[in-house]
Amino acid sequence: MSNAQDGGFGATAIWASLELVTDRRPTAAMPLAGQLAQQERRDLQRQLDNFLAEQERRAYQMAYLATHDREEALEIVQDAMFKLVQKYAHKPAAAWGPLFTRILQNRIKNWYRKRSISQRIFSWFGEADEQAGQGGAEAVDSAAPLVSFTRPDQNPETARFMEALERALHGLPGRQQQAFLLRAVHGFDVAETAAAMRCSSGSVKTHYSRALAKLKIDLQAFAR
Amino acid sequence: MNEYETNKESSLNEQQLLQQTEELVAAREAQLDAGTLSRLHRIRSEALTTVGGRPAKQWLPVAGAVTVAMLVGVVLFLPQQPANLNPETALVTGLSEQDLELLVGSEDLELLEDLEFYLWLDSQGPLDRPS
Repeated sequence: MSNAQDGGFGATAIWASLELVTDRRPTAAMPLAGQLAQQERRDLQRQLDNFLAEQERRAYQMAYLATHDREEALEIVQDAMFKLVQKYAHKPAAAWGPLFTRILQNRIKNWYRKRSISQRIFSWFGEADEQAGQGGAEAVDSAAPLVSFTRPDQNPETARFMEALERALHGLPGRQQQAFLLRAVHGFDVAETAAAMRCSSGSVKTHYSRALAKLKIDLQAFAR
Repeated sequence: MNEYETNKESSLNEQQLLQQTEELVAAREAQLDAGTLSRLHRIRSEALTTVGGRPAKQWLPVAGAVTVAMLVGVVLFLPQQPANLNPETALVTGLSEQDLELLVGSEDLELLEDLEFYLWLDSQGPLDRPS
């Protein structure tokens, strides 16, 4: 996160302005103020591009682990990117990371909510399975095929464990999955996770400990 | 220090799970297919085009204000309506000061959005009222 985390948003803008003044002369068609504005916009776009390029894969994976659907995951990432750019581009670059994580988690939470509602509606018509309406991804068929990431050089046992882990993560209820992934993938502490999930620290601890307990049960076969 | 207050006995398993999960996500990131990466790139490019641009809805109040200003201008500069209009016609075709106050002072743009309907209503002539 080179540009996003260096806190050099102001410095970059100043350097950009200096470069304009020294290297480029205003033309009749474009006054200096206009050039400055355009240069600032380009500079901001470049910084945002770098930031989002660093975030997009992880964001997609977080969304995919929740939805298990490529299109849904891409839509969540798209919403998060657009919201960050449209609403928070003017914020200091150092704030983009926490903001983007929070927006993304909020989008994932909304996805869970919508899914839960639609499952309940379908259950009224008797079209949902028994697990419908529990608020998470646990209703997904546990035998559903996953996209395998097994490498040829990987130990088959490790590969099996990883697939089981992915299935178990996907089977966690939404909030539990969010709490666990924010800790595991982003390394967030309780307070950071609570901020990203917009809930209390107590709730984070509860979600996390339940997630951990469920994962241990689901992966019991791999315990040595 | 582990803030999550898991017991010591299970802490090793917890660490393993956390580490394996991180590895899992990293492995999947590294193996994203070209199609998904292309889509992500396109989404990012599209999002970046909105830098510095106003959200679409922000121009609505401006458009409303311009419409009101034009309406006021038209009413002020048009010649006075004949005095012998019946009350029903006057209700529709003539705008009194009170009407203008309502139009200009109202923060609700619903009336402006229905302006086309009111203009059409005006063009239909006097209203027929049931006796």
